[in-house]
Amino acid sequence: MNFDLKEDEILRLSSKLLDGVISDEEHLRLNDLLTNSRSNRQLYLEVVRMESLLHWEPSCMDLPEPKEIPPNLFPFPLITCLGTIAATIVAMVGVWWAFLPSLNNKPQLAESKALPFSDQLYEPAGFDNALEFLNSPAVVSPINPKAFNTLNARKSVHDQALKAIEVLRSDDRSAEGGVFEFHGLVKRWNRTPIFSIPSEKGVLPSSGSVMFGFDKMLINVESQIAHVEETVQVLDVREALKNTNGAKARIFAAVKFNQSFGETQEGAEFGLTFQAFKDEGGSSNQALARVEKNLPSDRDPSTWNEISSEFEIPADAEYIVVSLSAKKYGPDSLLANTSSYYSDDLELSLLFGDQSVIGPI
Amino acid sequence: MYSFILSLLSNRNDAEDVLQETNLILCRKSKEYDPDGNFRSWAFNIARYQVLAHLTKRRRSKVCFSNELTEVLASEDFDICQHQLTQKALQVCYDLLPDHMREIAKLRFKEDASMKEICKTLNRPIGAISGTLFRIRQNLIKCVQLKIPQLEIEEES
Repeated sequence: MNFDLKEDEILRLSSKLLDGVISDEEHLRLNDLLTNSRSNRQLYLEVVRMESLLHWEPSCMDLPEPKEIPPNLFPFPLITCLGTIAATIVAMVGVWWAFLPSLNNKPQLAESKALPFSDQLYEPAGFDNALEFLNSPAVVSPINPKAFNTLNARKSVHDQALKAIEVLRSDDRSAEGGVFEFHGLVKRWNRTPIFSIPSEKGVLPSSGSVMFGFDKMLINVESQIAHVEETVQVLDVREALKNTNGAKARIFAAVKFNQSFGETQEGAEFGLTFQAFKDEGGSSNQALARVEKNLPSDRDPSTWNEISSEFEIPADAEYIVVSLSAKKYGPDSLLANTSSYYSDDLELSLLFGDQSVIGPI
Repeated sequence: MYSFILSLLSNRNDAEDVLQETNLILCRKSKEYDPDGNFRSWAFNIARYQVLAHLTKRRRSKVCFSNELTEVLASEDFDICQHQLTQKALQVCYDLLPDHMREIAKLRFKEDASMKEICKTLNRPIGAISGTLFRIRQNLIKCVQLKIPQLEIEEES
């Protein structure tokens, strides 16, 4: 069941009223909303009814505690045994991994040495606690640099863009990994829904009930850079640009960013990037232009930082790729994943020289 | 009764005070009650007068609804059967809240912590706590509205 904006407003104001944090203006507004509509009053009474049940009736909150695992399900010696076996396997795989290049693939070793150490990326193994992260020798586990260097992270974004272009070019409306949409003459491959998450870690969506959640950052320990980037939308502008009669077209975007509390001292640097592509067929698409705008953010999860950017679309562009990124620099980067990073309210508009506009989409 | 009073006062402490006063008056006036009459209507009417008296005293210092709105709200239907269904649905829906929401809900509703106390406990700004409480209520009310028809069908069968 979805609430419309008016109902959402009543709920929000009622909630503030019941928590004693409503301002005079908001109280007046609620008074008006309730005076003017019976359905508004019914909704308000529904909220109050629920509030009183939550507050007054203990049975609503006396929920059963999570069931404990029966002690005889995993007897202690078995756990020890399993733990030992698991540790042995991990150790053996580690030794095998460490010696594999020198045993089997000398050219690969040479290639690996040729890489500057700063290009090797490390990923924290899921530690939430910063001290644990710093003190544990096992926490920074080397990952195959061929798969996880900055260039490859960028390549992954590029690959996603190429895949999206292929989806749009072939008009594959049932493709997985995104949503195929039409906005006037613009076709859009929208990947935002697959990153949608509800509020978490004290961060509420800027609007609506979901927001965009970034994956964990990849951390380069040596150069102290942590980075995550996602291709979120790809627009097929071929049809839209056909009708511009040579007039310049621009794309405007606005988006908000936020991050949860973590061990870092400063906020992340968020980025909004446009790239224009010309379809050369297959994987040989050419990036014609690229614009990136960055925004240093605060660490307060209750506030969203907004960034906007405009990009002049090259005349021969066919696809526009929009990606979002989050970065941390310096010692903070080592603790980057103690926070989570979010985006919301991404809005795009295409502006044409003749003053016509498609969007916001 | 508490729910009815809270709907007019919107402040828990005030609502609890008025409920206590109302209960005392109901006890005192119990001899005046006609057993053939509608107890709920009689009791709610007394509560309504107590609320209005309380508002007259309080109006100088705190924000409260206009007299007209208070009267209108007091005359709205307060379906007790619906109340019981809501309670059942709420038990199910509360369990579906994400952990971080349940933590705040527990502090606010079960432990009766003030907003300041919650902010201090969780080390989060009041705006964030207020926003989360809004989301909690929003989630619960949506869920309850979906659950009640199911419970009605179950009760009928």
